[in-house]
Amino acid sequence: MVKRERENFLHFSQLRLTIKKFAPILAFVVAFVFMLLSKSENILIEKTSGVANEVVSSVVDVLVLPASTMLKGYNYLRSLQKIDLENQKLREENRRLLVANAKNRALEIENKMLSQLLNYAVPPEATFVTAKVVAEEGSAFAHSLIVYIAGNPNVRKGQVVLGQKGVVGRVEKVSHNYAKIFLVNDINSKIPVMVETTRVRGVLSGENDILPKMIFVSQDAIVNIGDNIVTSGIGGVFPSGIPVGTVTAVNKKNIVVKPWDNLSNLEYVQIIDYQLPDPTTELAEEENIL
Amino acid sequence: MKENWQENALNHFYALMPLLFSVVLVALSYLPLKSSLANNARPDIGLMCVYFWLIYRPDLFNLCSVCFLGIFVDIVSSTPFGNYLFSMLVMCLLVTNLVKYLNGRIFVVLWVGIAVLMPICFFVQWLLLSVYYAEPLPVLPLIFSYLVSLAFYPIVGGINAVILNVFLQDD
Repeated sequence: MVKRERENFLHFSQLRLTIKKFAPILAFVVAFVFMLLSKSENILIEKTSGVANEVVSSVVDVLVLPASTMLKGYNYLRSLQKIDLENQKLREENRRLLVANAKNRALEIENKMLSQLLNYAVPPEATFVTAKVVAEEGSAFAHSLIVYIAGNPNVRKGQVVLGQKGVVGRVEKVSHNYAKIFLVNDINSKIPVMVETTRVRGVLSGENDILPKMIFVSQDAIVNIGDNIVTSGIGGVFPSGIPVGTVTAVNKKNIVVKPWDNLSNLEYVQIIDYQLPDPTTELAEEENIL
Repeated sequence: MKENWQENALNHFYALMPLLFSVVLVALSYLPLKSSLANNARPDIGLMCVYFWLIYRPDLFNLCSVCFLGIFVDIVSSTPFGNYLFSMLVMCLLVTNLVKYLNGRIFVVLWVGIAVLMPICFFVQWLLLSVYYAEPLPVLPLIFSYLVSLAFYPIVGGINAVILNVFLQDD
């Protein structure tokens, strides 16, 4: 009995030693397998990462809260210094906006009348979800945001995300209360765009650099510095005509586009629901068919 | 009996402290700072914590802790899953083999140590992601990220040193 116990103990110790010896190799293999699985975009992986994302985002949200409150207080105190100047600016802007608003109303009525005359099929109305930025990531490997969507069921993967002035990214992952957003300068971001005036088409591609670049532009196309870039709507993922940014540099290799919004200064973002089919459901349906 | 249970729980808590504080520091590194620098080159706090704790308390911060922290960063981050875990494992492998040259040395030596080891981890990450995306990632932001991380090491190392001295010196 004692001999058997001793043998068991020895076996157990040997097993432990072997595991300890091979644990680092196993860990490397697991990390590599994780990367391969994330490339495969399997529905099970998507759902599991969604749940993990929900838990971890909640933890990050709670941990970041005190620091974020302190930062907000500091920024508020700093803004008090400029409040008078800002007030004057806002009054001036308000006066300009009132005039612009009156003009817009007249244009809207004219537009409606002309649309009726042409029997124009109106595209579906987009609805918005405003979400608070909880965490942001900016490094050589990724540029993304985590936003709080408060369990809104209308937020889905692939939807376009706007800042105050234009497109800032697209929704990548959605869990119950949080969504992960790829910013336009992230390497995963590819948005069909065009030059507003000349309608020259291309793709706005993030390269993990500070600013995104416009690629796949035809060689004879003329793009100048200062041209406004808007979404082209090709592919049906993004609606057309949404402002994206302005061209800041044109050379043989690249057309550099500066987004209208300061990507470093996003506090709230708007997620547009353009009534897209849910890619997760589509993927599940495809797998069921197969 | 009750006291014994409380003591055990406290000991477990102290044993988990390096990992818990690393998680908190990593979470804080994702704080929206509204700064252009922060949005483009955030310091890699996770790697710094792995480096620090594997030198000073490898008994409390072992391979399991490295894996947990790596997976945590991978979930928060939008990079392909497993990428940060891989780079932290590389750091773990390097530090465990070089710990005899780093343990008990002055701060400047540790700073030089991370300045030498971090580029290896960054390079591995860069290589993996370049293969993953089938295109080479830009190198300039990587160098910038490395420099920012290096500049932040005294702060992160200092915080970890305070935790080490206040909570984990006696056991």
